[in-house]
Amino acid sequence: MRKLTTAFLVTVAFSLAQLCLAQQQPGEEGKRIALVIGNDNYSSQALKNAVNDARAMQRALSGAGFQVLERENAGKVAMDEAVAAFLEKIGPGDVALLYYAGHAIQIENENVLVPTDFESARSLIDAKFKAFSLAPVFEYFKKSRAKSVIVIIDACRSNPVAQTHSLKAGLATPLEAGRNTYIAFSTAPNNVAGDNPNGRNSWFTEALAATIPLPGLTIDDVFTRVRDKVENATGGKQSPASFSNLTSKFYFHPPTNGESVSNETLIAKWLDDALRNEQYGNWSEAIDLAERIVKQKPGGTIEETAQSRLPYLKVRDDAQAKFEKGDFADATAQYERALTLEPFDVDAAFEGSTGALLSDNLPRAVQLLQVIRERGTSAQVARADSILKELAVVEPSANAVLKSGAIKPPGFHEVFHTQKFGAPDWDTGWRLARQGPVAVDYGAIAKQIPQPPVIAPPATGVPSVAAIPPQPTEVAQAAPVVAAPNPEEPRITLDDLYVDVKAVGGSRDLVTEEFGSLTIRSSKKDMGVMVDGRAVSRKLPYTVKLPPGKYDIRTIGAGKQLAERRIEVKSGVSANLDL
Amino acid sequence: MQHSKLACLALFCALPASAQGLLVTRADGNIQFAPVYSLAVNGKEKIHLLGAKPELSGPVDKLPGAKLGATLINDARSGVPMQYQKGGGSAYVYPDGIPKKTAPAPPQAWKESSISYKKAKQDKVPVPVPAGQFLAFLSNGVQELSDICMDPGALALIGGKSGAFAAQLELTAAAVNAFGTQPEMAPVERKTLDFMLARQHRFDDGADSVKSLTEGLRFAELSAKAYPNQTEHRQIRKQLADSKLWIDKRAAVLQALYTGSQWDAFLVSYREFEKHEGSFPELAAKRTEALRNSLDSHWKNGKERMARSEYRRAFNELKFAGQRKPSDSLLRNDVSIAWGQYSREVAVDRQNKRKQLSAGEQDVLEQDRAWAQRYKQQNKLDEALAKIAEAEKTDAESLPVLLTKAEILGARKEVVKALATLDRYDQLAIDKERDAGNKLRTELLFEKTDGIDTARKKLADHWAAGRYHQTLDLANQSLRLDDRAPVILYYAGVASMATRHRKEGAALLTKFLETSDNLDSDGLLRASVARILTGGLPASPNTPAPGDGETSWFSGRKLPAGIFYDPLSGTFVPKIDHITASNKMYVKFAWDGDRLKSIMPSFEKVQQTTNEKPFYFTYSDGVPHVVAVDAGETPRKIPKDPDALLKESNVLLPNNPLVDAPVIQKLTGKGITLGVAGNRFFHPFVWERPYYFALTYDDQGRLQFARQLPEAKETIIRAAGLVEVEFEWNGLKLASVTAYSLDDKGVRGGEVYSRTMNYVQDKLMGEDVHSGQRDTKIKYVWNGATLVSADCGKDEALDNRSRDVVFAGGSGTRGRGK
Repeated sequence: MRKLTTAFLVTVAFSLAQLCLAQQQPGEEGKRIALVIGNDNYSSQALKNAVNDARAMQRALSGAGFQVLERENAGKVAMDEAVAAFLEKIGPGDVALLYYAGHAIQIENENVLVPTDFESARSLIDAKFKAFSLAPVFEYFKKSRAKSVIVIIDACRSNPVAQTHSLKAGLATPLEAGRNTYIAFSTAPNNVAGDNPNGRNSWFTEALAATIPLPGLTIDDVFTRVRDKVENATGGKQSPASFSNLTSKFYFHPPTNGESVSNETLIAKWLDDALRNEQYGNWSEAIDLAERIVKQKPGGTIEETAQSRLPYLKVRDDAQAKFEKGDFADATAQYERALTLEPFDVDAAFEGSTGALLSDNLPRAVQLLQVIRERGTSAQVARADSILKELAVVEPSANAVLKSGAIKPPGFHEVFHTQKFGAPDWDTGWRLARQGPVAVDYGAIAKQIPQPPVIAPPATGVPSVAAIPPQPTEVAQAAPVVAAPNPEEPRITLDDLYVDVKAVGGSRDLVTEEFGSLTIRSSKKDMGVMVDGRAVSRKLPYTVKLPPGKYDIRTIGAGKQLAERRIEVKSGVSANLDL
Repeated sequence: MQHSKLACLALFCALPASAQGLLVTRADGNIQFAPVYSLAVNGKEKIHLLGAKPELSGPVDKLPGAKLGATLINDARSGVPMQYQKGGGSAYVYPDGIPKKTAPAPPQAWKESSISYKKAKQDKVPVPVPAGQFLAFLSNGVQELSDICMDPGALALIGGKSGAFAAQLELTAAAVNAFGTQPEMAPVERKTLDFMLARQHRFDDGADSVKSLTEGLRFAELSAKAYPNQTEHRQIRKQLADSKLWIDKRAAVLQALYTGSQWDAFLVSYREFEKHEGSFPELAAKRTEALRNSLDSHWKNGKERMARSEYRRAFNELKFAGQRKPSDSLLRNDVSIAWGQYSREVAVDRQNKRKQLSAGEQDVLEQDRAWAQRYKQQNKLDEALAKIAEAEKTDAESLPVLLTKAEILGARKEVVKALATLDRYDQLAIDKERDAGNKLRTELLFEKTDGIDTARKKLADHWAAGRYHQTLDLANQSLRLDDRAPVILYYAGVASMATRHRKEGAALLTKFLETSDNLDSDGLLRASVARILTGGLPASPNTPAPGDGETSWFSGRKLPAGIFYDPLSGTFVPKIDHITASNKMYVKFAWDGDRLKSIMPSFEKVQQTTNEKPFYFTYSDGVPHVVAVDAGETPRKIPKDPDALLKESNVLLPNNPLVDAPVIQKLTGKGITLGVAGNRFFHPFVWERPYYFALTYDDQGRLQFARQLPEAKETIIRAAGLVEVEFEWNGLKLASVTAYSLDDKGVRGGEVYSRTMNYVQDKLMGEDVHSGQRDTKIKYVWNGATLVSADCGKDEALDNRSRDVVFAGGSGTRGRGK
């Protein structure tokens, strides 16, 4: 029987070891050991969730490869014994984690956990000895040569000792920790945490236990998320705090397949980081992050964005490397490629022109400076012009460019080409606007603006054909994407009888310049007309100009659909619809 | 020069046979030439000599008189003509026919004088020349005009305030236009070409770039009109035009980059322009500004990146900023901080990747390290390093091993390698582990700074004293302390070049330019290095000349057949056996194989003994040429150390393998080549005592000038009485030797001696000697293709002895034979 027990224990131990190894990070050779304590049964001010919290953590940590010692409702002696057993297990290179849920206090800036058998104390000193001070534990941690130490305290919910001895609320900022230690409190130092009276777990532990199982999150990532969740749950009243002097990344669950991460938020962060790095010209870092995203295949906009940025980032990175190496001609070629990918990347145009100048290719430099004149901000154009003036002494094409005067604005299609990041270059717009009517053909610009599919109704009378709205006389009028409400616009309420015209599938080519017309007629003249959710008339008959396509025409009265028909509008064809 | 002007200048395309001289005048801004049989001033063919100054120093009738007929050139500054003699002896002149009692000052006297000339002897009425139009009378006609076109002294007189160059251009253009087809003008074509080449070379060297190029281009215009189809002219004209395009383009690009605030690009582009910056002070100032702006921009970027915790990029930015001003201590601190953060970040990332050693491996590693430390204690640093290499095989990233390695390298004064090792250490160490590395780094940095400071002073001393090998040794040692210290790179570079390691030198100087491109640098030094690197260095004369002739016993250089004077040393090549001289003197030449050991004079009777000394010739292994020539009883002892050997040598030719004399000349402006002759005029058979000369060479590596050096006891009387000997070569054949006197300031005076060689095919047949006293000859006697003997007439400029020279049997230089 004894042999059998030993064999059993060995098997269990081996299995545990296997489990631990499975969760270990690369290069993490030690064990993962955790002590989890949850204290509810206080004689004074018992708690409701601390034991539940300990159990939740026991599960979460076991799942993360920890050998977990769990103690519930521990008195002083039980806590001493549990901590001693825990500390004895820790060896060099191990990861040690202490989790505590229950009451805790700070006495003279020292954090002290409150055992369940703590009843009263004559003085602070008495309280300190009857309770369980963390200071000696930290000392043991230092001696243990553990690779990492993690201490998580979900306490300071409502404090029985503090009330009797007028102590400061909450826990103290940890001072006694050794190196490679991560300390997390359920709330900021000197603040009080909530127990979540309506829940099964505290807000803090609930969030923590839910986050730990996510793979690929560093401990910092875990607690960032926990903080976010707790702040949201408590309306910002409780904000978990963490302190770290870890010198390496710690994962509860390391990334699977090396760097594989499935968490959306993390990937979104990568994208943010990639874009930030792009902004600062950290091309290699941006590429690294974008490639990580693509490798994870998160799908959707994030993957599409990362995928679409990669060619540009790689070209810029290559251009920079070539430039730094002194291959100025090759660098220029790469900057030109970058410009084809990002036509408004004026910075690339500048760098390219510099490369061309350094490789003695003045005509090429002039071409790139011309690009800046077309697409740059006023300051950039002025800079390009001043460079061109210097080059004009020796390079005829520079002179020709300068003599050509103001630049014709680029077409709108070009301006908005591949504009997936950031806003269009408004500065360019203003510059063009300031150049006055001679330089800018506002009519031509306006023509490039997609025509609104809806034709405004006549102010009075019964029109047979809707009037075309006046052309904008200023660019500023053409710019807004969302039109402001028009006080003259007819109003239709849900109780009215009206015709609702909607494109089938909800999408049409908004930039088309081809239209057909549809005249809606009915014996009832007092019917309103809504096109794409916008009231356009309160009278019939009414003619509407629509892009070619299929439309659903529904008759609605008192909020109910009375009839529905589908018609097709063809380019240049006028159709009638009798309701 | 406009072509239309030139066209109307050619009054005479050929001189009548009766005319010898040529009158040069300027009327209506055009230079005109007229053939002259005789010249008269105030109707007289006589003038008075004023001397070196255009002023009267006494009564006119006391002035020495001279017959008109020698060359006269009007000094445009003073308005007084000068009787001109190339090479010295010129004198201002005063017109005759002026009332002597009321004689005005010379300029006024010439204004009041009438100049007239006759074209031919039979002309009865002389042609008057307004005094204001007179430029020159050239007694030797077109031949002299051709010479004057390239004679700076004459051109300076004609040019006056406008300068010699303007006069040269104007006169040459007019001369070519008027007489271009005449054979006398043939040298002008060559000289025009040489002028353009010289200006191109000066431009390439960055010497007065814009002025040189402008002058070259002005002559290119002349060349294009006068010699439109001559290939060499076309090539150099194109080269000059390309240079102009290049410099204009480069200047415009620099201005553009500056305007575009592209500071780093400006500085990159400036590098190849730097040698020309003397001509572009505005761009030189912009370079300084660009350096400052680059510094500020990188410093700012570095700090911003630090704030964003982008430590690697922050470190790179700050390091770059640090290179712009290495002396800035605040910046150095920022670089250190960034390095600390960056390397720590790397270390943290790599912490989990540290190699895990087994207990056995750990033991082996510790043993190797312990051995290395013991060896280091015993100062057996090679062994210590070998043991560390063993330990590295076990774990190349072991922190204790890296630290020990850095300590050993530091002890070996290899601070660069030690710091590189510590860089690796820093990128692996975290927290407390970093302390040991930081401590060692501080010690090494102190050692580096202190070592460089000490070396800097010593290097300057060595270099200034011509101890080129010691300079190189010390610089190479110091590069182990800091391989990016500009001062060390400079001395290592120039010393490498000076000691014939041009390639290595160029690489070091290139690195010098990179590392000194900062606000702390010495701009002049950088410009000079840029000139050395991009302007080209003189060709090394070490290349053996083609042919099957003798090896010069003096220079040790192989020569083509038919060469009797060594182009490197000016010494006579055929081996002399003995000379029998008049007044009972006998001179024996003692040979050791191809090497002349000594020259021993002896006299038949004691009372006939004169001052001739025995000569001893000293050689050194590895040096092809004679290294010392002494008058005395024994050869001198030569040290092995190259610098000491050079110091002891009194002969140093361009083919000396220990130093690159042309390069040193270019680097320091000092000529170091020295030669010896047995007399002042390089007479091949007169060996009175050693005369020492500083030698200079033409661009084909041929001896051009030998300037006599005063002997130690003569230095107090400076150069008076010394001579400068000019050598003229036809290919590698010596054509003539001409000696000029030197005044006490070392300025060349008049000709005092000349010898002209006469060749028949490849045989030297004789030499004509002119000494201003009695002309004499040297005759060479050939037996078939073998030079047998020489017969020298009495040379009054030397010892006035006649000589019979017998050449060593079978060893004389052979001609190609009849």
